[in-house]
Amino acid sequence: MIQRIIGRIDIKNEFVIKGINFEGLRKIGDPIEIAQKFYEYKLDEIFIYDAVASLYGRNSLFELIKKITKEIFIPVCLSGGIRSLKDIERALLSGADKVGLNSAIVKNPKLLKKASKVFGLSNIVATIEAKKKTDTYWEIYINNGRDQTGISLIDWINKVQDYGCGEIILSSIDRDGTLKGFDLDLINFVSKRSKINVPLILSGGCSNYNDIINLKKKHKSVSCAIASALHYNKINKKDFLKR
Amino acid sequence: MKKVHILNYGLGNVFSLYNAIKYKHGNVNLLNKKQNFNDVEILFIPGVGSFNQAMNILNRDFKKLLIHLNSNKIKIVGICLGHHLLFTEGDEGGACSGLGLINGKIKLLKKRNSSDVLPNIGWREIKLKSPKLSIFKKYDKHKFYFCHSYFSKLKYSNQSVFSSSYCHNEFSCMVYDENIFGLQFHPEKSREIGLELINDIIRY
Repeated sequence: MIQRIIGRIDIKNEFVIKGINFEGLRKIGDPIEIAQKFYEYKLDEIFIYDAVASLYGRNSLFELIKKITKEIFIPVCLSGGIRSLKDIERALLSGADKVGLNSAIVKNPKLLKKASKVFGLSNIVATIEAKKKTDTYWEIYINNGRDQTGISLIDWINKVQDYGCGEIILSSIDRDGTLKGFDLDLINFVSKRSKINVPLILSGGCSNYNDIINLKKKHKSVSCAIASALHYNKINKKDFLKR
Repeated sequence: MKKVHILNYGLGNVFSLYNAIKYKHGNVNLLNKKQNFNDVEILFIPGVGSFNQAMNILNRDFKKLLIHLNSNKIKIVGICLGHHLLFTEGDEGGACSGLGLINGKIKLLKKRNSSDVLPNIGWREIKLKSPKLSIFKKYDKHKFYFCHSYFSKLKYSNQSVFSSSYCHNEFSCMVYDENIFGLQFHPEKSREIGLELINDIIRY
């Protein structure tokens, strides 16, 4: 089975938070406890995202990652506010296995090229925030879904693959936190309009276990990231355990 | 208790492996360049970056260490890229000599269909190839976490303990020869069963 289910943890000021369409962030709980819960649910990986790091020009999760990875033995990707090779090195030395890049590489795409060369392709993840503008145009956003870039999603997907990344995590701003199901519109559009050569992870909107099954039926090789459905207990632990 | 060291030769997810060994085995240290290596009883070589780059660092900073380990038959455990480095030759970014501890070459996985993607990332089953190490039989058909684009092509297939497959490529994912172990997957990222495997390798 190719599909992976990744637990997503969005963090602001040391708390796990969750918004809707990347806005109206609500406190959910303690990051270490929630990471432990995801581990017990037998999720395949954990994706940790500092929701405000890029916006505030800081990154503060290295100490937290150290604590989280002490007793959790599955892959952990750290994203949000990673701006330099030095930041990536710190993340990997703090216990992260992979690093997700968005705002910094939109501003300076050469960073992506350098990062995948120095740290190896498979440790570098391009994280993309996309929003639908028209039926034929999706645009990418930075700074936690806040600032538009004028860059077309399809152009950007081609570029990050060209510059070198081991995976793409594609978040739908329109579906984020809505519990309305994955953005199939988005994934259909992307699979028709671009050639995906690396593993792709779709994030945003998952509301129950059927959403995951349906995504797998239609897009066999696409993995998914989920947050709200886990935070609000919309999926039974036993659904994950029986996989 | 055996003294376990992790080779700290650059920019790896060294901390992950450190946590995993510490959790079960307790005693583990990082081995940096210019550090005394006479008390090393087991050395883990993790890996990140490219084959060429890693070999350059090993040849520059750790040549004496590697000669010492091999001539004294000290146990070496390579993980992912660290496992690739054990082989004769790699072809990532041009042909490059490896440590030559295991006969064989490192090659890029082939895509068979246009929908195939690389790297191979995820949890895959491993299949027992050689029953001679009975202690490892219990891991047959269990899933471990993989993350790689290159694989090892062994000259002597009887050195393969486990194999796995991806996009119709079958490849060896664990090799063993005398004092050398190589693992393509990441036991340090494969839940409790991975930690158990690490511990079994340390004790073997």
